[in-house]
Amino acid sequence: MERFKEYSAQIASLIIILLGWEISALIMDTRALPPASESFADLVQLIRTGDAFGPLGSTLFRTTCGFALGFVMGCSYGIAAVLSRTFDDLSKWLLQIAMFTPTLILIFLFLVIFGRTSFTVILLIGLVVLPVVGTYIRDSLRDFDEELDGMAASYKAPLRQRVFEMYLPFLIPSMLAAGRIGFTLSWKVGFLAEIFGFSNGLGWQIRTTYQIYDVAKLLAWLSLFILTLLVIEQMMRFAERRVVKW
Amino acid sequence: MNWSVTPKSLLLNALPVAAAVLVWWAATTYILVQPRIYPTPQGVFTELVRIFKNEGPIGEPYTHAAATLWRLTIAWGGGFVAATLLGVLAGRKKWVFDFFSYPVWIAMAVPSVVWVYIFLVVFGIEEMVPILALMILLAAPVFLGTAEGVRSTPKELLEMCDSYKIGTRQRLFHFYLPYIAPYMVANARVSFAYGIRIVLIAEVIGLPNGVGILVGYWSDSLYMAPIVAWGLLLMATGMIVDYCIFAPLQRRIRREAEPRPASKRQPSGNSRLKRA
Repeated sequence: MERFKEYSAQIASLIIILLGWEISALIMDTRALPPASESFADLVQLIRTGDAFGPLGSTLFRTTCGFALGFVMGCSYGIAAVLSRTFDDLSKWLLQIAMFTPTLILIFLFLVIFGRTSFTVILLIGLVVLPVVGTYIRDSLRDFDEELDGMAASYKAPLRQRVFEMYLPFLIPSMLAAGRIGFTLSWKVGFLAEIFGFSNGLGWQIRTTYQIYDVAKLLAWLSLFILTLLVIEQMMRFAERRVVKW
Repeated sequence: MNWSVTPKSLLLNALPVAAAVLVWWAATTYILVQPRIYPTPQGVFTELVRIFKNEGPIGEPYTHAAATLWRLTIAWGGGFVAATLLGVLAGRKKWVFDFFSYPVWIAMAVPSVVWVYIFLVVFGIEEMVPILALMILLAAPVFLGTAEGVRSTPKELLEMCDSYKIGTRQRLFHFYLPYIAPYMVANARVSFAYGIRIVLIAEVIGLPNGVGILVGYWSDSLYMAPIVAWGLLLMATGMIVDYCIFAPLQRRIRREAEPRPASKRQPSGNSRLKRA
């Protein structure tokens, strides 16, 4: 019952948004705001003709690679920062700088300096994700129960066992959470890089449809963008629940 | 958390940054000699001086900077107030939280420039468009953070309020506010840092002024030094506000909220962003 109430409230908001969109489109009756049904017809058509999959695939590919890069670097950073005080000190300012740099400036710089290739976007995503995942892992590792460490030391547990039976189970939930947030960020940064100067992918499609003023198509591509993220997010949440329960 | 700063740790903090600048200088002077695309540190410094002298190609840099900061402040303030109020409600009533969970999620997932596209076609070119786009993005994490804060208020105290028939006003100021104040500061801090990173994205199209326009202009003319200069300026602004306003505020409020064992529960500004 509780579950049902939760879902119905969640879905009610989506229905209200869609209804509000449809009704205001009908009232305003301009090209500027096409009704929801038209956009979704476009979306269905995009999927049915297969036109959607090319851009979606290339965006997804870049995002996944960039995310993987950033995630691995972030985790290594987090672990290293906890293990070594000196490393933590050394990286502190660099990390702060990375966190406060405007994303747009990074995008412009990278695209011009490294050229407009997929590799540039992957590197860019990796660099944006790194501090986010890194600080998250670092902060959650600091919460690690030190008594457990002491116990392992007094029982002389071998390193292998310590890593696989103590640190890893402790880290996995926060890694999943960091991964979820990191992926959303990667998806956005990859998309932004496409909007600001890349000639394929979802972002480019949105920019083109904006330039030719095809709002229905724009919203259709945007829905595709949101839906994909939603599906991935739900998958990750599912994984998270499974793992946390275990 | 250790706030003390020793000379040694300061040296360690600064060393890699200095090394990075040195590498940058060496690379752009000896290897990649093409100052337009690979700006040298001196070049960026010259651009910084030009910005401070208020010289620029399309209008005065001060006007652009003021426009950007103004938009950021309005969007951040408005988003913060609205999201905090909604967040308090959502923390009290589960269905409000559930109701807003998808819209908030969508608000966070869609980049600001896409909001700008949509608002531009719907409303036309107006000053409100980038502000609204920013507001949506900044409000979302604040909403989640506040809801989390309100939910952490102890139920027993609330029941006590009920049984003593304490009025809404008093309840808000003496009960909720002290409890969620640490969360509010953390929210404000995170969303401001986030805002300064993304304000430019909302400005690149459809506006007569703003730093975003300038950066877009330089990017189109393939001249990188001013872009780096503006990046440094914005970064510095963000850091100064963070260290001079939010960090002391957060420390003070934490100290006041000390009695409860809060150190683990209240994430620092940074880890907060990730949770959102």
